[in-house]
Amino acid sequence: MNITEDLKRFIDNENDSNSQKRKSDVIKSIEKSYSLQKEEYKYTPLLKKIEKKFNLLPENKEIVSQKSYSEIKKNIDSEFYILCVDGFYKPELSNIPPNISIKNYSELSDKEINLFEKIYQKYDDSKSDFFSSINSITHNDCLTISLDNNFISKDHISIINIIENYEVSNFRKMIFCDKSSEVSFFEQFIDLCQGESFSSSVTEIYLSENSKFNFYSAQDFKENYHYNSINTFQRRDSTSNFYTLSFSGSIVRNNLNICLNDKNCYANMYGFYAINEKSLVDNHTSVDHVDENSLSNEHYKGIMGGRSNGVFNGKIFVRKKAQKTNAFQANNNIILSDKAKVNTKPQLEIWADDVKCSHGCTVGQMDEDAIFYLMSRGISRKESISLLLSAFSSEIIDKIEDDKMKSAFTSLIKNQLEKFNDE
Amino acid sequence: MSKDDKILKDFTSKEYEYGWSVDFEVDQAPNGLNEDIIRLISKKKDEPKWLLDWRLEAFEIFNKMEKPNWANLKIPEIDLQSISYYSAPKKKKELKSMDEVDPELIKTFEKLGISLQEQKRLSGVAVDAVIDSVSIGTTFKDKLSELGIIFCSFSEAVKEHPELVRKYLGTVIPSKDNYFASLNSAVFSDGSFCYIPKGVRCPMELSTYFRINASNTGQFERTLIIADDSSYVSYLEGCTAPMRDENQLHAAVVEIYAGNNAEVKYSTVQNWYPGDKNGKGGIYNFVTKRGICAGDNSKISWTQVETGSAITWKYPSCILKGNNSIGEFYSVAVTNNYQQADTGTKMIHIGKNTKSKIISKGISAGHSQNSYRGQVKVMNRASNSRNFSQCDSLLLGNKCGAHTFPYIDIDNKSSMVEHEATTSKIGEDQIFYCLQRGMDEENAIALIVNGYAKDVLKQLPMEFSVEAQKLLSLTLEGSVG
Repeated sequence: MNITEDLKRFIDNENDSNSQKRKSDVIKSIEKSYSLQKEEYKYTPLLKKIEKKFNLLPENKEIVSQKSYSEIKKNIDSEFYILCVDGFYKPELSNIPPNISIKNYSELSDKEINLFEKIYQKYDDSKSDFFSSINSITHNDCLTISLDNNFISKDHISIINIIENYEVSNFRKMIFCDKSSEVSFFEQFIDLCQGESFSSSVTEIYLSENSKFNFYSAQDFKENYHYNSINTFQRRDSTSNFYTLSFSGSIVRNNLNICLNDKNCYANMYGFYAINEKSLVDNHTSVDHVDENSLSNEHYKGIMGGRSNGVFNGKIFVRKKAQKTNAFQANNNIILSDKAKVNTKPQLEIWADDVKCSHGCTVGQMDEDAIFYLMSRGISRKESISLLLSAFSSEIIDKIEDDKMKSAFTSLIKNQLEKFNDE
Repeated sequence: MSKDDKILKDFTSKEYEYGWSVDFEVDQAPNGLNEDIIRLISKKKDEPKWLLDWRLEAFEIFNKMEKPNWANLKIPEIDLQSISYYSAPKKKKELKSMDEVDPELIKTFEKLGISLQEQKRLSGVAVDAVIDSVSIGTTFKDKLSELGIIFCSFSEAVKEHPELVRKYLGTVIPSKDNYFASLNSAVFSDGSFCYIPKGVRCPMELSTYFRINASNTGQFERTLIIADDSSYVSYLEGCTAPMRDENQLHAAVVEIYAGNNAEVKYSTVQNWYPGDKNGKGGIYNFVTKRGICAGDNSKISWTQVETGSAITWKYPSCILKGNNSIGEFYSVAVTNNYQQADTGTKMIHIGKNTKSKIISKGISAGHSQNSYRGQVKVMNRASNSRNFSQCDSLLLGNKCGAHTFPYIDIDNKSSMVEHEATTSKIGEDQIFYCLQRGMDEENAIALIVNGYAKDVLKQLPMEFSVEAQKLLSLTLEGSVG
């Protein structure tokens, strides 16, 4: 493969020996991650679509400008926010809370490097997913967020990623939550690029004992291509909650990998996608139960209109040692249009016997009886449908504990559902 | 927990019952796979040229293919050159009736508990027995031919009904379908052929019995079932093999064609030798089975009880082409010791108002790995189609694995698809409930396992249902106390 040669350039340009080692590790397994695409991207021709359009191995440089992005900032509903442009963290444009360390990897002290070196590329899917491999090699600096012991933030912290100057951009971050900390993030991507673009983002999250972590993300990519990989590693008694909204994008691929490496871990994953036109949204999740007494819960719901294609693949692994595991997974889809498609693959792999695991998946359409019932009460057909669709989404919304986020997500979904009609 | 362990221990130490071989004179081709062997097989069977050409074409395709590796199986390297592709009990003359059959053979079947004579007299099941891939004798032929039903060995069908064979052979499973189907197309030696004419309801169960007897042979049989418009047939298939240290290959192909309003029910109890408790020996079972509901309102139903084979790779599928056609798949797969199974189905909805139902029950014990792999595909024009899938796994012990890989691809807005799956072990409360009703643990587990598999077992015809229940209970019987 010639790409290997091209990628080696990035290692040669690297001064830091740790980075060099990390990147060469990825190159060693690049052929494997490339070959895994056949199954993992069976319904999602992401590489095929973008390899001719873009140079996937850009050498982006940080662009310094005087822009203040006040329009965007105005819409941020939280006090604290982190702003990144083209994959570069902009501290001068961010408002970060006290008692939390947010820095570029290259600016870390030796002590901090020791901490993050244990996380960097240790828990991601760079050796099994081609796009993650490419991100690992070509990303610029890595944003690091570190929370101290017992740090608890009341309000969520927004992460705003702006895609502006490059048609291909790579975002990368690590989040370390120390013992008994509690934090929420709300991540959004905003595309200001003229024309089509491809962005990739890889996140590694390390949750120490007894920490609690919430991650909200809302994706509205219009005509752009996006790859997103979130990788979480959990220690004893920790809890993670993920809420993902996907509304558009030429192709949006989300990998959410959670490793429950210790006892009594909780992981909840909720997703809602409502897509139209030619969008393709692909949610790949994987939960790896390594140790005993953990619980994972996963629920993804989707509405497909136009010529859109919804793809879902949920993997649950229960290792030999992970007795007393409870793992649940559900995926429900509504197809509204004749041209829309759904491909779903809920997958269980279990090696322990004392477990309760189940998955369910449905594909269906609007219930004509329910529409008729509402119309007979004087509600128009369009309104009836939108009412029923928002009822469909409420199961996901109801899982959000934080009131502020709940209302934010509710209005986002409401706006999106107004675009749907039965065809 | 200790009781569970004991059950497991006994479960794993149970020996294979059908592990004997009979010495009768065989006519065996030299080992190896090449064009000459294919010509030899074709010549021995006195085949017409078109069939030889078909085989050679399949062989050419096969040579370009690679062994599939997508299944969740560890498949050791299979040396196709070290296998003999033709082995037949030496035939001296054409046999007219069962009485002329080699007494050794009759004994073989008596040992199996599938005495052709017995079957003939008592149960009214017509049996076509295939040993080492050659059909030995077909019972009840005359009675069936009165109704116009053709039920005979594949080679006989090639001779007597070439037009039918030629019309349907390879239409459901083309020779380029997959690696093992291509291999089969090139080297298949015999099998069963069945044709039910228009409007005929076959009055008895038709049955094939397969047995691999000779060592170093592979069995490559081919079954073709054609149900013409408005006909009905229920077809049974059973299989056993002797205990041998080495592995043997079995790569069969079953094709079913159902016309308008036709119904075909295909039941299998697969009990090939699974290898010993250390995973040595056993049959590699790579089978391609597919039916096409070509006509409107047709129905194909697959029921399988898979207890044997070291490796099972099998996906009986339905192509629902006719409007309002129905496909069903019921499966119980039990794996023990070092057995591996990757089995499931494909339901391809093409016609309007098509329905499919999948019930799969996996039971894994010992060090075995049991996977369900299935696909439900609804094409764009298959409006109002409906699918329900349920695949449950039961784990006995903590060294085995249960896996589920369902692919659901929906391209139509008016179809409804549901899939559900669970994995669990036998609940202690369930056992406790039975115990406090005065049952012993052994019966309790047998009861629970049978209840767990009941949805599938009840689909089997009576004779098979009894055998299947016995097979399931036997594996667990004597496991306690």
